[in-house]
Amino acid sequence: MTLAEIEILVNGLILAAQLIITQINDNTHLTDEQKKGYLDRITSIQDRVKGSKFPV
Amino acid sequence: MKRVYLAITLILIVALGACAGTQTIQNRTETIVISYESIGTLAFPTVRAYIEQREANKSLSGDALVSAKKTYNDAVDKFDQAGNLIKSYVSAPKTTPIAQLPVLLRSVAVLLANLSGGSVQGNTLIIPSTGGTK
Repeated sequence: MTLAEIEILVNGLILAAQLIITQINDNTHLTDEQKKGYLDRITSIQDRVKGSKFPV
Repeated sequence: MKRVYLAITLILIVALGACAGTQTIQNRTETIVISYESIGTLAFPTVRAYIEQREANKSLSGDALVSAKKTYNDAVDKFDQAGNLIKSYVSAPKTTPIAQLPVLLRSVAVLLANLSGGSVQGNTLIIPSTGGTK
């Protein structure tokens, strides 16, 4: 194997790693259902705490 | 004095969860939301009840009482800002500067600690179980 071939192999491995990382990131996005669930939970707590404000 | 450790490892958890690049977005978001819920359901009701108790037994009155209530309301507003930040993160995790969240929650913790005679030690908010002596 020549030096050029080794360099190509290394670059190919790096590209493969980058593709795997991209796939992992793509697989970890939140689904619309998950987003709605989280947004509802946050809104619920926000409303509860805002409702506890003192009238001053 | 017996103390209860309330929300506050929460702030540490949020800080770690927000900053750790090794976590998945789902894990990070779940950690942040649970932390937020814990502060909202534990720390705020405890401090509000403490202020009401002091108002009832007249150990807090006049301008000091008004100031305490305004400070509590300020804490609520900051907590609300934190909630909006989390909502932005949930909607667009890769473009939301979530690093601001621990800063916001820490400022909330400091306000609640000052109101209750508690303290913020490291990343932990400590609220006296029977209220402080302020």
